[in-house]
Amino acid sequence: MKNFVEIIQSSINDTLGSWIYLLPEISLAFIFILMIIADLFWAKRIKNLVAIIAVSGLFIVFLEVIDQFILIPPQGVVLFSAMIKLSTAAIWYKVLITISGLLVLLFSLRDFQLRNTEKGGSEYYSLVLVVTLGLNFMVMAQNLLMIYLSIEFVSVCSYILAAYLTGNKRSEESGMKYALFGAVASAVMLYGMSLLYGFTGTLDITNQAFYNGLASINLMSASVALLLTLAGLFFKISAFPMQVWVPDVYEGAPTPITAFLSVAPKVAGIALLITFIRAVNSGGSPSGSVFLASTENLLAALAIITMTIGNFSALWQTNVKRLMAYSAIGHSGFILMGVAAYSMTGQKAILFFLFVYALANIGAFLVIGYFSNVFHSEELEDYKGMGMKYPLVSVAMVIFLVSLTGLPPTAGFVGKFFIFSAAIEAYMLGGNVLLLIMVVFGVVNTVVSLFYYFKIPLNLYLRKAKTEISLDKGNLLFSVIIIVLALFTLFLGVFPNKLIGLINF
Amino acid sequence: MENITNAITLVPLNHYILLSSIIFFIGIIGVLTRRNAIIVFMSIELMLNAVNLLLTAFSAYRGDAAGQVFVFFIMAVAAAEVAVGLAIIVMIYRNNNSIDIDLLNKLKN
Repeated sequence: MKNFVEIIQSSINDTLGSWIYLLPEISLAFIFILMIIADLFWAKRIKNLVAIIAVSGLFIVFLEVIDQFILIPPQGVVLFSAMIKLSTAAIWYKVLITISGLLVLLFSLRDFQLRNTEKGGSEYYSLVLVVTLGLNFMVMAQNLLMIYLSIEFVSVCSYILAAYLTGNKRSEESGMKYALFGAVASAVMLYGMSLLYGFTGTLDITNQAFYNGLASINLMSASVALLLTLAGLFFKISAFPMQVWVPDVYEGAPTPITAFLSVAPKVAGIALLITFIRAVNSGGSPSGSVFLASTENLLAALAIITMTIGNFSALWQTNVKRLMAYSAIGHSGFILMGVAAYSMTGQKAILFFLFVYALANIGAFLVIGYFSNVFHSEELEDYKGMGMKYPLVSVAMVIFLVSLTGLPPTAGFVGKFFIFSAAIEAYMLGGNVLLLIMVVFGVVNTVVSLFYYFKIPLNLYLRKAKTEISLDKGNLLFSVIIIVLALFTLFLGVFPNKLIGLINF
Repeated sequence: MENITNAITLVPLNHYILLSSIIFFIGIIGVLTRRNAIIVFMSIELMLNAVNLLLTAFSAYRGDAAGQVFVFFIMAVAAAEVAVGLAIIVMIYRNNNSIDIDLLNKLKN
């Protein structure tokens, strides 16, 4: 009985000591409640109140996340009896998620589709904040229960956001498809998790018992359980077997949400995948983990298939959002390359690549949003001749696309260069030929991606518009953000060390 | 409480694994073949219940409560997920007067 009291006391102390590290998440939850109350009572009197609370609140959260760099010790802290772990890498992912959340909120302020829905926008802003909260937990999760909860947290809110435009059949369809695929993916992942629990007897993936339990059973059954669990993560990062939903959802969802879904859940999914792979590979034996070779091969093979499918399918697309969706699948392949070549430099390369990808992708979607505000279309046909009418935005679009392709002098080039060199380094160390094949495929895919990305500038500048329609003036807020993002993309391309120097873990 | 865990362990563990994998596959087949959105959600629920059964069995055999706690979370989250799914289904029904998922073909190449 006395022993029992001690256990309770220590676990209460652990919980109380952990709260301080959760400041950004607690603030997010408070801001969410504040937004709902504000929407109920004062939304009629003050225009855009909820949006203002959302933007300023998320900015405060951003500062709090930055503050955490100083708060934690270099090796990170394990919180809430090993439910989550706050490490420097996790904070970096949180910074990236918060920045993309902020950009998307600013983007949503002026999106004509969202402004014209009958529901109004207030629910929308609170949901974006909740997704951010879920993503923050996702990058820190260390326990199968926490992984499941955070993934569902993000998924359920994303279904609502994808189907936000009531009465718009495309948006509804995208939400329904997302919900169906998401529910199946999470059921499959849970099946894998229950098997993992059965094999190991623990839910904590960093626990030594987890690895020992997996290593002691038949490799075949362990692989089945791991694969089923990974399926849920692959759904989030839109990697090969679970990428079917991406084009439909991205095309139908409101453009700001497409921008958000293509960046933030992918960042968190990759962070979680790295945690998971690292837990599986952290073998206690001196010869290394029994899973090392098989995970490396699996990830390399999936990276090859994912980028090839994404880039080759994009070649035939005529809708710009759909084209960007396939390009997002292709980019997942590139990021998986980095995960396959997992090492400390690999993780830095991934983080830098994700930063660059987020800047360029959100920027490109902002331009798409800008154009669809102006002429209400996302078809490539309608982009003809717009380059001359909207010169600044079109130049920015070209910069984003060059960065996504990975050509100098933009940041995309540096990002891809780091990923490729991490893969080659891993090949030199381990001698796994599949990694070399992966690099070759990566180069081929970069060339392929050139063809479809440059369809957009081709239409913007070199084709004549068929009809002269009277056009609205573009939005000032959008053009300012777009130009700032384009300048950042160029800046990181010329001085990548400004960011890489900061990233150290 | 002791009695329940003892009663669970009276049946060999393999039987639980077999039963839950059968239920899980019935669920998968339902998702793949049925065209009615509500029945698809029912099949997903079947898959989740297979998981719950498996977790409970493992938890009883291991003498560890974590698995059973997990089951509670799965039930709660699945309810939230289905609530959102049903809301979207209602929305689709209002526009199409049908919840056949083959009608979802506006977004295609």
